[in-house]
Amino acid sequence: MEKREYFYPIWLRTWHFFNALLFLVLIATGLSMQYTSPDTALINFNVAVWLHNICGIALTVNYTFFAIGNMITGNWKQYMPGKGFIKNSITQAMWYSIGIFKNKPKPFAINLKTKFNPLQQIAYAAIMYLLLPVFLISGWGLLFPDILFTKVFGLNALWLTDVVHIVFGFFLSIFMFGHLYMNTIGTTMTSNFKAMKSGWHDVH
Amino acid sequence: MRNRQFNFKQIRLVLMCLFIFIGILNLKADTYKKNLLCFNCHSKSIIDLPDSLGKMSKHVMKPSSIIDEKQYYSSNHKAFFCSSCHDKQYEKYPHARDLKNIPFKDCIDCHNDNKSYIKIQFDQINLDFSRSVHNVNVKKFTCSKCHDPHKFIRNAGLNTDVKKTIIYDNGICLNCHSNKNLYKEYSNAPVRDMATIHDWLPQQKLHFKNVRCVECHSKQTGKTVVAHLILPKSKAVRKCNECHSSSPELLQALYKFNSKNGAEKNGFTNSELLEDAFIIGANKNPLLNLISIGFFALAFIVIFFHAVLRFFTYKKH
Ligand code: HEM
Repeated sequence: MEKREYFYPIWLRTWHFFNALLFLVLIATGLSMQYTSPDTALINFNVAVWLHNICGIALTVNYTFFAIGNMITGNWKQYMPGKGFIKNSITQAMWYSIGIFKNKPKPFAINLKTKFNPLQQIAYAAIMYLLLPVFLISGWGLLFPDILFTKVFGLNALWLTDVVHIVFGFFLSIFMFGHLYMNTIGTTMTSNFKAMKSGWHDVH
Repeated sequence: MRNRQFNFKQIRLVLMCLFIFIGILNLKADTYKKNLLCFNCHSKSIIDLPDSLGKMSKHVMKPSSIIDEKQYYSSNHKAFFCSSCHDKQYEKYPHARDLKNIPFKDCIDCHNDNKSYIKIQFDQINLDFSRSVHNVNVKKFTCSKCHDPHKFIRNAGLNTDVKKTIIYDNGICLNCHSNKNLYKEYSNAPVRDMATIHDWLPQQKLHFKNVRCVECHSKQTGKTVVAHLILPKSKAVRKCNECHSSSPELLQALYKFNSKNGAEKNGFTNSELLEDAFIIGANKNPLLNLISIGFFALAFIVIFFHAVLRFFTYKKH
């Protein structure tokens, strides 16, 4: 019998919705600016800059909301890798690359106490508590270049900030596409998306 | 041991060098001495001048007639007599009144055709200038309005410190464009505050510190060192991505002097921009670009095959 549990409270779903939406706009405008030239631009350069700035600020506000919400509700504990997480991650990775095609059951049952499988845990923790904060800070650095140091270890600080922003943005974009695909691996193709919409997730 | 006696040839060489050296010193001293006659008055703001009856009275020197002696002798023209450019009759004092009608020597009179100036392309500069707003809109505008021959030090293209070139070159524009009294001499319009009329420009302070006015306000036509075709306000660069893109306009102008370093350094295109200033959007790393496209392709291939395999191996329980 399928059982359902309330995984995603409304505040988390709200955060996640805006997070996803802002990410899409930021990727589109970011790529457009990256490959702009005076005659051709995917999105008008000034519009792209404006939208990118606004969405970046909104993303920071949204992230702060997430961080505070996670802290207050204790949802942050879900992101803490438990004992034997390396071994468990390998087991999970093996299932994704072999087990799944043999129709083997998922190695780790999920429930309200552990919503994520070990790989999800590491990926989400790295993204939410490492990559995204550094990424956001680099974005603010580019928004206010005059507050940056001029040189860091003999390198142009603005350049360094820009490289960090682009490289991290690239990894986050890859994450998003991976995340989208991985989310199709639920009870059905769409069940995880429905869960993120309603808050109720299937548990086995 | 060899006899170390000087032979005649060697002595002659030493003497020749000595004479040339003394000659140069003398020439310098000569310039200095002769010019001092002019500087006696023209370096002061108030001078004693005899009136028609020979009575001495105080006379205020026109600001444009006051020449900073120290600056002159550190300028590119320091070796010249005043009368090299100003009419010889000026050497007589008091100056005859009708001297004012004799035009000064034009810069082009010397700078044209001279082989050593070929790189600077004065003909092209002259042509660009003739179409520039400075010539079209302003009466009696000449080279010296910007390049005061009494102060001029060639800077662009020689100075490896781009920041210094920026300060020097922008100083030339601001000399009039932020000086009420001087501006009045050329235009009826009031001089406008630079910060206010550029308030649309994001990161104004950073821009002013890192680029020259001419970057946006002029058009690079030939191979001149600095563009002299100053455009009307309506034609100034306003599109951010003319500079903030992989083919930045700025590279054609300000930073082209560094271009000889090679277009790529540390794998970054337009790396000359990296050395002094960084322009968001102008530096791309082809290797990083390739790696990122590779990663994306890999991710999509993995996802694609994973999905296909999933599709074909899926069994409903
Ligand atoms: C269009 C874009 C996106 C879609 C459709 C999407 C979809 C989903 C879905 C369906 C879940 C639930 C997963 C499950 O039930 O196992 C989820 C969870 C999550 N997603 Fe996304 N996502 C998107 C973008 C993002 C982005 C850009 C990030 C972060 C940068 C992100 C971070 C997360 C996190 C941290 C969770 C777990 C939330 C929690 O329970 O604490 N998502 N997402």
